[in-house]
Amino acid sequence: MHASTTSQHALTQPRLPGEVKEVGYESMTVTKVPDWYGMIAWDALLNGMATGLFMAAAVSELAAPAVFKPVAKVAYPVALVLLLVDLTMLVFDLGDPLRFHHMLRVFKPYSPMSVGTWCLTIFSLPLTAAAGLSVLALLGFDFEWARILAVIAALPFGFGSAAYKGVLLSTNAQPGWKDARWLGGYLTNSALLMGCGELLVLSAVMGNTQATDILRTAFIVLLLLNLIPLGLLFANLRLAHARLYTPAQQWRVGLLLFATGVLIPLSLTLLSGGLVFIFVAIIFLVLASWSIRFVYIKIPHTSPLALRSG
Amino acid sequence: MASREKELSKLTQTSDPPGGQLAQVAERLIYPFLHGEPPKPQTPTGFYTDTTVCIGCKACEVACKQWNQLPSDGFEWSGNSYDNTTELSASTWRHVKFIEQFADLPSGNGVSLNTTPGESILNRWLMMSDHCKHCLAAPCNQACPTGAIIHNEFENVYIQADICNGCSCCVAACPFGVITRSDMGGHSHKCTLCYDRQRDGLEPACAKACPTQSIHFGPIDEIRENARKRVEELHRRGVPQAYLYGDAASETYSEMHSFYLLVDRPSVYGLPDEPFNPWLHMMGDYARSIVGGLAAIVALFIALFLLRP
Amino acid sequence: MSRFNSWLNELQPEMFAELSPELAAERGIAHGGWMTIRTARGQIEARAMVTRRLRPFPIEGRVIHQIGLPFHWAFAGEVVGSNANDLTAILADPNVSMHECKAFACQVQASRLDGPVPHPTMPTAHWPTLDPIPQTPASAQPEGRLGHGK
Repeated sequence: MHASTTSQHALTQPRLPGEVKEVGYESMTVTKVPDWYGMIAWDALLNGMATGLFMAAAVSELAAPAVFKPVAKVAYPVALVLLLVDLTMLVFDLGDPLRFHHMLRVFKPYSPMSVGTWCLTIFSLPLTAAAGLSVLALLGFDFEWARILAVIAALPFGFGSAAYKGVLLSTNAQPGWKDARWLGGYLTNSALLMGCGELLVLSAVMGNTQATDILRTAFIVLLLLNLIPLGLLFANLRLAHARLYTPAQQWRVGLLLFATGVLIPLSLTLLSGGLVFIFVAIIFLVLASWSIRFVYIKIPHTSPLALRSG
Repeated sequence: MASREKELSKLTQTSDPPGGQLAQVAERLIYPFLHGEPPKPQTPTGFYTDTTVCIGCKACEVACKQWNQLPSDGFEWSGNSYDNTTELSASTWRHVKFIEQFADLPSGNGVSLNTTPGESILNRWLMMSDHCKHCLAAPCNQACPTGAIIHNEFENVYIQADICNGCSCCVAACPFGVITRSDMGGHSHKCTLCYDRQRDGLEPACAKACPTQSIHFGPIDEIRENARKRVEELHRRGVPQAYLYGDAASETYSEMHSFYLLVDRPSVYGLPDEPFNPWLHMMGDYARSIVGGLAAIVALFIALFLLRP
Repeated sequence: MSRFNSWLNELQPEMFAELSPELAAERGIAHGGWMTIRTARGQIEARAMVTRRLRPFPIEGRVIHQIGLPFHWAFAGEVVGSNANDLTAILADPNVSMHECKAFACQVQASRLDGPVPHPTMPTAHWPTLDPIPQTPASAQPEGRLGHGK
């Protein structure tokens, strides 16, 4: 029960006979679930999309600069915008958003949230520089060496910003979450997958067929690679899901996610490099990625099946 | 937290300082980064709650609420024996639990509040006053990114309420479900072990109010010693199920500075049977996260490198 | 007198009656449901707490059930409920007029009383205020003043 400004008088809310909460403490969950729900699923998604896009663009620039430089120059500002939206969401999800700067008082390497805050803060600086210099380059003012330097400086912190999220959401005492050993592995891998996908969309929009074709193959490789940490994560969560959902429900959602997140993007990308195909493929991928995050976040908020069915 | 002489000079500063909006914003930005002189370390203190003498009077709950001026949690009859508070929260820092363990008659039927006892001991009403365990290696302390949760000079876990920004990492981390985030103000709160009273040389409000001296307070070594003697005495007097929960570190969890003498399985009391420190998994999780990311980066790099014209 | 303090009210917000599972089964009273208790002098309603702590007594070949009632509820206060004293005769101790009769015969039934549901006569205390206690330094504010800091 939580404190409330409205009065809660038992007699003004007549109860049905027999309508009594659980008796005894053995069946009650001991831990308290934090107020992390829909907003955190969106944050996990945007974090992955922003850091993944940046890392994919940086890797592509370093691997094959001749092909990818123009695409990367567009990618960095987009990544910055996504990151800023993500950071705003994070700040507003705090209980007291006006105190968000309190997280910069200390650096606690043992707190994933502290590591993440600092990584994101430091990451945003060279990313802003890289994005700004990219925009200047697109307008004709070339500061190539400075731009590359900014990208390289941002790379480790971008990686850190992607990697901390999974550790944050699995290093706690919440039912289900505490068993997800591979959440970090999945989220970081998925960030790069989505980044590659976003880069693919950008190159298709820009009409750069050479980059698009190369990225299509790379995307398919990453899509298939992502199945490994995803499978490991679902193996971790099997017990938690079994407590919450019937086998039929689990199969339905699992197949739906597989179709949305793997089959459709895979087939569309294999079929054609046209803009519409690519765009729809990535939309489905992002949708599935959000759904996976939401299903994960939902676990401690869902009451066990045994209690629900009585 | 005491009204020492040097604080009295601030008594006149009860209204907003002059200076307008900009000065207030600047103060809000600078204030959390100010550091005073750290207090001198004192003898570590703690609680030991002997549930075998608890009478379930809830004086500890009321004393805690009164001393700390906490709000009530709403008036809802839970039906769970005499426990209508139901849980610890940001506004309930002590919570008395009632567990009825009475044998059914051979022809017994109908709903009862009976819980299957861990041992074949029947016909008892267990009462236990739950609160923050003040763990030595507290997961909430590890999780807190603002540094609001600290171990104070008495080695108790204390939330600095003027620093907390309500991120709820501590809520997620606590294996005992002690902390929650309040809807009023959006910060997290829990038992302070009456830090303000301790600094003035007093014992916590709940320990003072307890009429049966079920709640013992004092230097942790001393009360641990007393608790162990009490368990031995109970064993001699025919209560072999008595044991201490949290007085010593286990494989998966540190010792707690607020431990219990229980007579049944911990889960009967709503405590985790084997508390697990989530931080034991952290390094492995980071490693897996890094491996997952690097695998993708390497795969992407190789693919792009090989496919380049 | 008792029902004006919210810290006490939340500990036991409603009038309830404890009864054995056997009596509950016999009268169709569910745990947490409402029941009326009736004596020759009056009747009250209470939440039913069906508990194994109470057992029927076989006495001289008959089964006698026992129910337990607390007191301290009445028509006034932050929480209100039926008054157990409505069931007893007015037998007062000759010294201080304390209600002497605490044990009596009654009937129970799974139902509520007719008539309007009683309403609290006092609004719940508005807790908490985020304003600091005046003329007190910040370090001496109660910890539970949930408006610490700015």
